[in-house]
Amino acid sequence: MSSLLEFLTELSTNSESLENFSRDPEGTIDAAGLSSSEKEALLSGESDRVWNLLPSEMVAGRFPPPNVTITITLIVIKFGNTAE
Amino acid sequence: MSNRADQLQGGSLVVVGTGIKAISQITIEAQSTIEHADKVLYLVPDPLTAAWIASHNDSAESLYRFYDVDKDRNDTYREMVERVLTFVREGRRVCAIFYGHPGVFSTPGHECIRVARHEGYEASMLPGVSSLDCLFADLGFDPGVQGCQSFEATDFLIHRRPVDTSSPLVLWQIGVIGEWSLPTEPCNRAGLTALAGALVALHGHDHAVTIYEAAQAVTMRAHVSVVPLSDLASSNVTPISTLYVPPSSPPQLDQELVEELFGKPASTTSTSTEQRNDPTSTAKRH
Repeated sequence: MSSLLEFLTELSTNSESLENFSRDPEGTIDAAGLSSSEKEALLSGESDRVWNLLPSEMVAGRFPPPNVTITITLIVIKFGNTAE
Repeated sequence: MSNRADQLQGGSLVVVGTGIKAISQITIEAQSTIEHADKVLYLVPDPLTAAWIASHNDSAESLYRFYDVDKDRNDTYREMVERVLTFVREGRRVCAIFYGHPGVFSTPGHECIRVARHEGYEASMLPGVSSLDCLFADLGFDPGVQGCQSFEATDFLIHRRPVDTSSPLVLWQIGVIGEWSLPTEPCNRAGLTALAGALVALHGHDHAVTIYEAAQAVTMRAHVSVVPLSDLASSNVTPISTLYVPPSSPPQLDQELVEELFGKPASTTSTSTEQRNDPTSTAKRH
């Protein structure tokens, strides 16, 4: 498992760790031994940059679109054939 | 007459949500359901949540592969639902996971349950944290004060939904207006331009609106951008952007009804009424 994955999982499930990160992001990242590219991505605050560093089946920038489809009601008016 | 339990087939389905902020918004009941399911299928927008799901149930399988460019989303969702039901029909306890709230802007979430129940299987949904819940928290917007009108942006436009300009309006999916498949661009400009025009007609060019995206992880912040409606069409918008449109006119007060309900004329009750409708008021109501 990547250390970035472990790091993010820890921050997501432990409020004390998250508080430490909020107080000192760079120091917390350095203490976790993350790489410079991982550090830059985390400090950028951009989701795609972080997700791109994790193993994924998803295409960068193409997360699932919102899950709703719109129903368009088509009213078809059939005109009678006066020839009949 | 046989009871419902006799009629139920062996398999079952629970549809759960993982929230918007990766891992941290998964409810305890959703976690327990994931851990105890015979089969887990999921559709989540980030690899962190996907890894967490996989670590909590070995059977976890992603539904992401059903998406494709130029593929009708209805076909994608039909295939997802069929995949989920395959395991229910085998008699397994199935957990289907969708990000956010699994019943809010989630066609496959509802459809899985409808089909399962139609075929005689036990099926239920557990609520999750939706992007609207995050919006309430991040923008300090309480729907109990002035109400809340909410529409999917394409639906809002093509059906010409009537709007009360004295009540807040939330429009979802403003970056993918008119899109029917997996979007290849972050924003459909033609659709956004049409939306901006419709809103200008209601609120005027100068009305300030908020483009919002909830934070996707604890290390990230929500995107909050306030722009006048005249700039909306050219603003930075993505497929997950939501638009918050505050009211532009005061609500109409029914003087007679106020007197009937409160036992006094509207003029003497106006303070409390105005306070309740003032978005800047910090007064807490219980």
